[in-house]
Amino acid sequence: MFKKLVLLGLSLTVIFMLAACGGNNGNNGSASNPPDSGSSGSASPDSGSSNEKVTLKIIHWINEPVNKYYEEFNKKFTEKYPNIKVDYVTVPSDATYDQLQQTRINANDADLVALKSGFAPIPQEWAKGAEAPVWKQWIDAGLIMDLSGQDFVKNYNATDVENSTTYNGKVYGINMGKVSFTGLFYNKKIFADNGLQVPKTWDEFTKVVDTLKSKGIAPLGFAGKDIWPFNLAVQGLSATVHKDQAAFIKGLWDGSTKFTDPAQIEILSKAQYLLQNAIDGTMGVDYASLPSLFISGKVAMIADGTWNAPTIKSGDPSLEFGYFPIPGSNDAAQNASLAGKYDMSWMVLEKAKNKDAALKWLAMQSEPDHYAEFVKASGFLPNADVQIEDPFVNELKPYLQSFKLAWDQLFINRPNAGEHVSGSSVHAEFLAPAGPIKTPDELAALSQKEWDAAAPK
Amino acid sequence: MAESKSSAVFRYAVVLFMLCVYVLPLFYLFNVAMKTQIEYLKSPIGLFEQFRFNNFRTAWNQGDFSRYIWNSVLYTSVTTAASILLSLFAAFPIARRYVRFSNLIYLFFTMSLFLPSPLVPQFWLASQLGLYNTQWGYMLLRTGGTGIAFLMFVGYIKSVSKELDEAAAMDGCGYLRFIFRILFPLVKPVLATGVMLTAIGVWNDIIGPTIYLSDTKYQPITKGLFAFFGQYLNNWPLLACGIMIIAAPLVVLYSFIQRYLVSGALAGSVKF
Amino acid sequence: MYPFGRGIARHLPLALLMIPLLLYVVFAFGPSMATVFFSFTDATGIPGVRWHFVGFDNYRKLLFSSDQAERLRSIRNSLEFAFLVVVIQNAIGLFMAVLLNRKLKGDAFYRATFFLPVVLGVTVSGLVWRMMLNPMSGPMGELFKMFGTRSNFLSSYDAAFYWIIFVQIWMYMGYSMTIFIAGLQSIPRDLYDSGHIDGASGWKAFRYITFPMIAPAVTVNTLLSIIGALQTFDIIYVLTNGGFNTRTLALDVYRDAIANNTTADYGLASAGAMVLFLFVFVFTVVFMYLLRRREVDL
Repeated sequence: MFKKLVLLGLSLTVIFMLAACGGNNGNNGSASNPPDSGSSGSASPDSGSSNEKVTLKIIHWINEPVNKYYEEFNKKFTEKYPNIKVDYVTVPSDATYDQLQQTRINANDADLVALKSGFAPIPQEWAKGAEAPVWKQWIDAGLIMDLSGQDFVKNYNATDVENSTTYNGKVYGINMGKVSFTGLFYNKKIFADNGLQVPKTWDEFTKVVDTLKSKGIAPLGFAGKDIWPFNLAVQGLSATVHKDQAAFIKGLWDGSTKFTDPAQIEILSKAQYLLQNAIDGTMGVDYASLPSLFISGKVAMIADGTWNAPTIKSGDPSLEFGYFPIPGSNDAAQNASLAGKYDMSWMVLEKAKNKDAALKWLAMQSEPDHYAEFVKASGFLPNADVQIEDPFVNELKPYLQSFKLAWDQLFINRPNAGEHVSGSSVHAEFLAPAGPIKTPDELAALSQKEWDAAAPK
Repeated sequence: MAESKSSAVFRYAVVLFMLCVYVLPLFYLFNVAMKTQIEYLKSPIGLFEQFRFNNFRTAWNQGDFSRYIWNSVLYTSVTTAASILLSLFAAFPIARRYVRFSNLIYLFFTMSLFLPSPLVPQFWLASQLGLYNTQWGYMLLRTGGTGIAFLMFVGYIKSVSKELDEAAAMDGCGYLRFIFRILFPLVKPVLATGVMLTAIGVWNDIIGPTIYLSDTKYQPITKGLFAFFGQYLNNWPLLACGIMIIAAPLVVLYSFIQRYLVSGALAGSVKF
Repeated sequence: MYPFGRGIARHLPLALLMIPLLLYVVFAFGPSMATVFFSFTDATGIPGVRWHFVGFDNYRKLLFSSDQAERLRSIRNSLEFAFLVVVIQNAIGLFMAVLLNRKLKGDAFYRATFFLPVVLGVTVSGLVWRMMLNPMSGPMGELFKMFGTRSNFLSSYDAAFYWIIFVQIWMYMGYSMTIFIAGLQSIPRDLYDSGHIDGASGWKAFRYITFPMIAPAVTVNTLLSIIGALQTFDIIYVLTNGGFNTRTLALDVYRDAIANNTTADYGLASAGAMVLFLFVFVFTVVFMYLLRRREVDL
């Protein structure tokens, strides 16, 4: 039995390797022929212009306030265009959505696809050998429709369109707004009860932390289980410690700056301070539980993006909270602004069966009334001059005089970089007490070593 | 065999301990399910204040389970029935060596247990064959006759005397008739176990339907679970209810089948 | 000899066997083998993008790239995971089987309970344990507090991996146990009776009668748990998503195959799948050989 199994395995392997090689009969070898999506309402390519019934297929991820907005919006859309049915599919925003995106694009079975961000980081000359972001590969493969010149694009600020979804001078998507995530949510009641002000410098911040601790209140909460939410705070430090993040990143590529530079060490040390002053068990908090931790009043501040304000508000409408940039520097001017990113964008697939309907959908969405409602639901900072009377957003305005991109929107990584510099590169979660590395210096040295090892040869 | 009192006490103590390890987490799930979100946030571990069976109704509506459950029933029953039938079609001649290269085919099928994950080529193939986004296409992809049920059938049938075939054939019983009329009732324990194991896989499948079925109207019950994963805020009590709703049909099926489990497993261990 | 007639009827078994065989070859075996082929290409999974043969580049990338440390740790984790799961799961499974095989009040209920996680599936079991092991709000945290200690459980760089192993064993111990019970029940009663006369009892009876007699069950359990443990990624995905030093080869394969911010590296994922397959294949064959030989010897 044993011998036979080995024999069988070997011979089959050989057979299939031969068969596989022979089977590559010169086509470009990837799934390019879309299957007929059997029941999707007999859509034809030029649909929508007539009164033919079509089904507009949209994929998106689960984000409750935004999903609710779209369900309402889709109803209105169908009222306006009775011949267009909307199939709006949402799945969890983790790998499930990535997988859905991948398979739907492969099967050409969607008209509108949501991308998790704007087009970032922009590929740069100096970052040789870097992997291209997935949106770029899609565009290069001719999968995404060029929206330049469509009327509805003009409903958004030209600079925002330029900075978010323009690539090679063409507009390939509609970005829905900006979010900021380099600040901390704070509980106004706890601050007021303890006579605390929003800190403007790092020293003021540590005083706030000390006061809270002396009163027995846990100062900080992070969603450490998912790691990236803690990294938002680290990016906040980075945005305020560095004078020019983009230049620093470029320097990392050409070797003129290093992860072991004093500024990086400072960021890591302060990140370690944040960890040391977080509530017990913060590393076990998953992102979906973070708002509840904040709402329950167990912590005075949490690191999170402004996009979560609607969720916090819906969790407890009576809770008073605000948001301020993490003051990583002792220069108050350096700390006076928030950084962030362009959040979700909509793209139309080039081979979509219902392009016309998709464009109508985007056009209707761009109308000021609808867009204003979207902004209200999502908590995004608008890409158009719509008036939103939202006290939370109004409070942010002083911090947003000029919109800065955060570290992870600028950073371009080297392929196969080790885990201490992987992804968006700064991994303070490896520091004690959360992780196994004792000091910022050790982590910085390790990061630089791995960064060098991944250098293009 | 005679047994001392202390060893009996020891045995019960061990079993009791293990029971705690298994029952307490499940009880905790129920405990969470009986709370309101606020109650859960305030005291996640404390005992629930009162029975809130209404949570199940809320979860049922919010998860839109009534929309999906029939799809799940369809997929699970069809693929399970087909897989079991095909396993039997494969196992019987191989166990009896009624076809040539029986051993080799057996080994070939056994390999299905550890082949590398075929997800991407399988998706490509399914698209090419027009199986994508069709209900029967998905069911076809999930149907197979080579899994663990097949192995158990082979093991079990080997333990059934071959004289039975010969006697039946003498009476003029045909091959198919023999399988359905005589073999079927005989292999009941394996059948039950195989049904259980196959049904578990199909019923709990999340990735498959997400990839292969794009229309919302084709989604199975696991899709309903998504309603409770807010991107930003999970409603744990309702999620717990949703989980229990999804698990309930299988647990009911299991309660009917569990008494066959041991004899079914026995068959599987006759020969690997 | 085939008793059910001659002529056309003689070919019925083969004809019926062809259905599962065809399904298997087309939908499972064929696509699996295509993985071999893809592991030598730079396929990305993006439609319309040309791919090329890149020789052993993907294997080199997998084993000798600058992120080698993590890649090798994934492999080591896979092996450690498999080893611990196989040993502990089967040891407990056998122990419980022996306990429950004797007359015990409510044994059917216990058996059913231990098997229940298999029925509930990975998603349910995973979520239950995520709640249980939440350091801030889970009962395990409270339990640890009672003993004056604390842990971050699934987000501890030291312990997370072992908690995943614990959950995996929790899920499948009942399965092993059931197979062992089946094996135990197949032992004829009189074997013990005659053994008793020879002075075999207790441990000795177990060592010289029980254990040899359940050799087939040992084989099945060992092989199934090796295969299962090496290929598991879903429970890791649900519990930690590979964070906190819990990546394994199987999880890497899954992650490489899905485009996140960068493109899916399907070639690399295929190479990983092949390495994983090789491990499973070699271990299965070696263990089958060893265990079979032992079965024969006894």
